[in-house]
Amino acid sequence: MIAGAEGVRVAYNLLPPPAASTPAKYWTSVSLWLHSYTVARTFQELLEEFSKLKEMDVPEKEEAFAIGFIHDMGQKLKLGGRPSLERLQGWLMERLEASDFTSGEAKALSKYVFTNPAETLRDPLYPRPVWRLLWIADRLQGTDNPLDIPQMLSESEGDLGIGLNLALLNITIPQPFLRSLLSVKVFERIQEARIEDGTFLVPISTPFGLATVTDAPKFEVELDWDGVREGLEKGGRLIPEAVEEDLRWNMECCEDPKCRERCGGKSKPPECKQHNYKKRDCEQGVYLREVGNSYRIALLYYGRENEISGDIVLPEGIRNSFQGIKMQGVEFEDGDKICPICGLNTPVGVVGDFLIFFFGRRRLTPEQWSRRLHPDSVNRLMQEGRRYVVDPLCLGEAIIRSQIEQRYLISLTLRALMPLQVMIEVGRLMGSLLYSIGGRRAINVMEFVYNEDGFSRRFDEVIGGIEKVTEIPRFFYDAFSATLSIPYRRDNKQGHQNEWLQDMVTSGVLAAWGLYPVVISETIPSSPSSLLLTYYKGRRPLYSFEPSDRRLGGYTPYVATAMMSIAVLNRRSMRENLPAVLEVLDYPPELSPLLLQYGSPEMYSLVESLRYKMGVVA
Amino acid sequence: MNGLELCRYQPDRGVDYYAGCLAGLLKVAVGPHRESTHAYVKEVRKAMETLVFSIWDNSDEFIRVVAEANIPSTLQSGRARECFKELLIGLLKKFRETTDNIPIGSRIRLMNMVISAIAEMARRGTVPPEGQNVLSNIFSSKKSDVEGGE
Repeated sequence: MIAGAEGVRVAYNLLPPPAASTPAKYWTSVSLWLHSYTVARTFQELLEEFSKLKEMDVPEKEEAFAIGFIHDMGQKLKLGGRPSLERLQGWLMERLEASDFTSGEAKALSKYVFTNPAETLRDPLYPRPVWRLLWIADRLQGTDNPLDIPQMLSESEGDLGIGLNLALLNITIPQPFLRSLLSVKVFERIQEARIEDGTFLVPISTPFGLATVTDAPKFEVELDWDGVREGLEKGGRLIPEAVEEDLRWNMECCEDPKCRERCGGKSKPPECKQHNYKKRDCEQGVYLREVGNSYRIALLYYGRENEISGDIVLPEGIRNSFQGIKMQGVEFEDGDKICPICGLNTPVGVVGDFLIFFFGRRRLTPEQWSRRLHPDSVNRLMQEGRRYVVDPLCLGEAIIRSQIEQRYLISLTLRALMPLQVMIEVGRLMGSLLYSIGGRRAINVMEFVYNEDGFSRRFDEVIGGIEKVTEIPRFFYDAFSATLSIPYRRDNKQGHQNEWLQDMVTSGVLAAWGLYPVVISETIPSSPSSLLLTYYKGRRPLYSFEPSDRRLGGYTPYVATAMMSIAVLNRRSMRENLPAVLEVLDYPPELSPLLLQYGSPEMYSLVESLRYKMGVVA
Repeated sequence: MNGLELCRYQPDRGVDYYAGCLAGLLKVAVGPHRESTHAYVKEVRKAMETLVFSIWDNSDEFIRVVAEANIPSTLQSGRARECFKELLIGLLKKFRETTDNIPIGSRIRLMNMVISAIAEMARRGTVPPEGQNVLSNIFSSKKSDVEGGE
């Protein structure tokens, strides 16, 4: 099956960086590479599901991928006239052959440069339903609204001969890490249903929930709270074993008057210090209007062993935050306390300082929360009349966040619809790319766009890393808001300007490989962006550059490579300091080719040659 | 497209286009691998400095004159000289357009970057495809010139 690393390899062979970054849409910033890859993989997924229901002559997986990838490349590259399209066809034939297609197959596939069956819905090679599925795959990239899908499906019903429905699944709790954890669990359930039931199921991530295309009249997912205890990995544990041991010891100590007295004094025995026991954590929690032991509450909700008796009660305010998803083993109740982080009324909660138990000396800054209250007021509120406790969901959020060593996250926020499976593949690619760049000096990163007659010395390294990405950094995908986030950088002391340089170069590489819009922030972003890079340190013209801009979008490959080459801009004149180099970010995007020409004449020449070969320039 | 058409100013061509093509011509005029980059860009530098420091507010009137006055003497072919002049006009005009709204300090810095980029491309021989295209058109045989060139 041509998916995952193999699909990514073929896709980059056909559209290498930095041409990969050419924008594909005006209504949202999405790269041509990401658009084409998504259509190709969506087409494959739809064909696979369709084949479960109907016997039909359908393309092989490799062929489907290539058709989907190529379908509107000429149009998106804005090639005018037959000579340019012929040049693109020649390029694609060469690259398809390099991707293990026979020369006959390459010739047949590259002709889709001239015809777009996703629009015409006809081509003699396959029956009309096949092209209708390609049409759906393409149209899904034309909207951010899941409610547009039913219209597409009803338009397709005549051609496909089956009625497909939309089931919208959504979780809108305000805790993004917990939402990502639940996304993993929902995806696991959907995968199980696909295999067990044999139903047509394609889950599509949108900014407004998970749209599931299915032939079943109704589709719902049941989640068990025990799944949350497992953490991101199936059969794993959310709280590390050693931490859980400490929680258990402290909980028992709280409930044993002798131990409580022993550990509650000013001079604590070493064992109490070792387990990080705090008297206030025993007394200041709340569980269903009674004094709650914070350690017990943490174990009850998130302990792997599930040995604590008690009901899992969540704030009433989130009862309606689950659409199409049934939470098993959970009750909802109103409470008289308020969570200072999410603002919900809660019947259960832990004292605010209890979160320190999970973070140790590492403090969680207010910016790392998706908070509702003003950051400097949190501490004050916590002291005010004991009205405030951290609710169990924010506690879970803190437990997940505490396990990420990096202070910053680098996120991809998508608006165009994308199947969840594809989003996970893109997350792996992004993780692999970041891992490959990591630790390299900014100046050496330029080679991340090279390929054989120019690009790809590091190509195989990145592609090979995709399969291993689960061993690399963990990445979070929020299926319900179409956001991918990867822990990015520790809060080190290298100085702001060097950090900027690293951020520019990293996002330049990602953009050159077609992965944008990127957000660098301390938490998972809550709304999609359309900028090449949204930054936590203010905005400047070049990095608030919008690839979807009609007039300037065409400069995206240059802007991406100029951002990568920012570190070499001062290579030749050592007198220039870093602020002067960063000043180039104030220049208008029209000058990005010039910046690249200056920063790296070789790279400029390479970009121009690539554009020439693909027919983009005359 | 006629050889000289490739050299003339067109609004949709960026600064990088003219810089790349000028680098191609200078590579031929000066020859590759000189120790100093000054030899490659002394005329371009003079023209750009005149634009930025002397004629910025009246550039429309003077750009052509400045370009005519700064054609390298090592470039002997009439067509090549004409092409160089047109490219230089294009570079000056486009530079004037794109950097009109940025501070003077940044403009001077950008000017130095343009000059440095041209010198580096000419010296290292990393001339982009558009520069190669201009070269092959300008130095093509007289026959094709008579026929209108290609």
